[in-house]
Amino acid sequence: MTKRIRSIYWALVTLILLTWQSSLLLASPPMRLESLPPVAPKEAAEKLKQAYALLEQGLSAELAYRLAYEVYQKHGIVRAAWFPSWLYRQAKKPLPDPNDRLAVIGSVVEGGHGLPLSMLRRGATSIGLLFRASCALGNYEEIVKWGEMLIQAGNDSYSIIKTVESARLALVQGIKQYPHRRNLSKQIWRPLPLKFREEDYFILIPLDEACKILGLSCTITTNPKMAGGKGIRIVKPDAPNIVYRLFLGRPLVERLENGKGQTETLAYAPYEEDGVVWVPFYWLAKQAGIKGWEVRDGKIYVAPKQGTK
Amino acid sequence: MLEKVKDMFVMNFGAGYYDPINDRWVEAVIPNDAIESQDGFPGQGMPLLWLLNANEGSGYPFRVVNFLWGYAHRRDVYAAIVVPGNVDDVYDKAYGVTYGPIWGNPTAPIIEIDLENIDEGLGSPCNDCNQPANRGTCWLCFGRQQPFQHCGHCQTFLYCCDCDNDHPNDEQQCGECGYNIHNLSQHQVLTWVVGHELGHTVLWHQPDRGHHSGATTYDCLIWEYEDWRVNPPTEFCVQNPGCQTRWKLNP
Repeated sequence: MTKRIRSIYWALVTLILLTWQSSLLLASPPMRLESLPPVAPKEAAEKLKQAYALLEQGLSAELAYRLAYEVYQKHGIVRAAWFPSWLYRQAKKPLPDPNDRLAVIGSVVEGGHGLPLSMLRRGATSIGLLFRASCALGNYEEIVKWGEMLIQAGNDSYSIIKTVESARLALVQGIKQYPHRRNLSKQIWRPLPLKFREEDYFILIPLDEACKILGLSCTITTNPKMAGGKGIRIVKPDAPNIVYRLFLGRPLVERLENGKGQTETLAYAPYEEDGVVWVPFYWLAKQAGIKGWEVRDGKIYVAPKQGTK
Repeated sequence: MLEKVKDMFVMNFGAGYYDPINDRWVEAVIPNDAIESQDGFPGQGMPLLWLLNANEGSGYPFRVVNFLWGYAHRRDVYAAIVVPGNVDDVYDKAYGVTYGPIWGNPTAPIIEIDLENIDEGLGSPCNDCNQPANRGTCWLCFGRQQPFQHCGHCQTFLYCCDCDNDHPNDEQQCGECGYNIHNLSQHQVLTWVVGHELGHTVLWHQPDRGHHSGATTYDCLIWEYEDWRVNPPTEFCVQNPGCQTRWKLNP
């Protein structure tokens, strides 16, 4: 009897979810340029930019949530878009307003800057970041709260719908928190003897120096035939058949394995300045097998690799 | 293979190209194959596409293809403009957005493709869960269709992966718990996203800009749910053949 009641219960839950979702789902929403959220004021946009960088680098989701929440409390649903700072330093002519989507795309179509401005342009909304931070924190109530708000605002991509759906199911089962967040003992993390710069809230490191310290095999060669004028290749010692190619000024990585290529994306494009190639640390750390890291007292601290102390 | 007719013009601003000003090659973000390959689109209903050189000519926002019919310029035909971009400041996690119809368009028939969201939608392999940047999505492994098949340690279908550093043995099993159950390639999905968005440009006048819904449309490229990880598309509007005629822009 209990089994039967349970099966009816789950059938009802499924039916409700399906009905609810079928009324809301849209996969590739048509652009509604006339009803975009307002652009965040400068100080709020800066907080959104910082929250975005924290999440993309796998750093403090708590801080990212706090920053986005401050913006939401003060300004509601707002959006912000930006170009990386190095682009302003290197651009030979004025860049379009990153919040003006059509101007940015127009610039790409007209080929004015020689760089993929529409890909270098990054952006987020206050509630989009709150949703992402809630996912990173594994907090199902918050996921449902911000996810529903995103859906109501028209951000109803399938992955958001599914995420909210699963979080709802977890809550129905009495589970409020995904239990992956255990305190890592950061006492055993060690500092890296590596200089870095923080730009647009991303931790950037000089590629050649970083590769030596992280044990990666990197080559940077002058190649005027390549975008950015440099050929950059990275190989992990334990996977010599996989080559990663980076491109200056492009947020892309080409992963070549046994001659087959796959394009992957970077949250921050590598760039060259004064002869130094700067790349985002989070990506290089991932290739080096580093499981956790943070910046503390002006140094990058990294977690020991598994099996090491 | 069904014979297809070229019926639509597309300019790919994500293609690889030679930049004569700087005398260098620029890598492709959206390979031309994802647009024009005869093998690219699924099954019946999608046309082949005329791929035009995106980095020549001018006229933004309208790229008019002065199509000659015989010796007459019968009417203006427009090329859809495919641009790689980032759409999260408007539609969080969307694979792509379409800005308007192919005809009579105040902006332009622009399609913006978000490669990062496509990658995220396909899902990080769960054996990468220990990467902090992936933790936000790791627990989404519930998306697979056979929830318990590979994950011996999972107590509920929500927990197929233990992303914790203290449980390295689980990584082995997590590797089996991927989101991408049909092992779709990025190129395959990219092809579908472009096709889906192109569908919007010709079906813009329809409700929901052409998304098709209902039980008979699961296989359709313009199906509203677009959950290709579970249900790969096999055709374009076989149940709504009138939609297919909208491709026939070639006068």
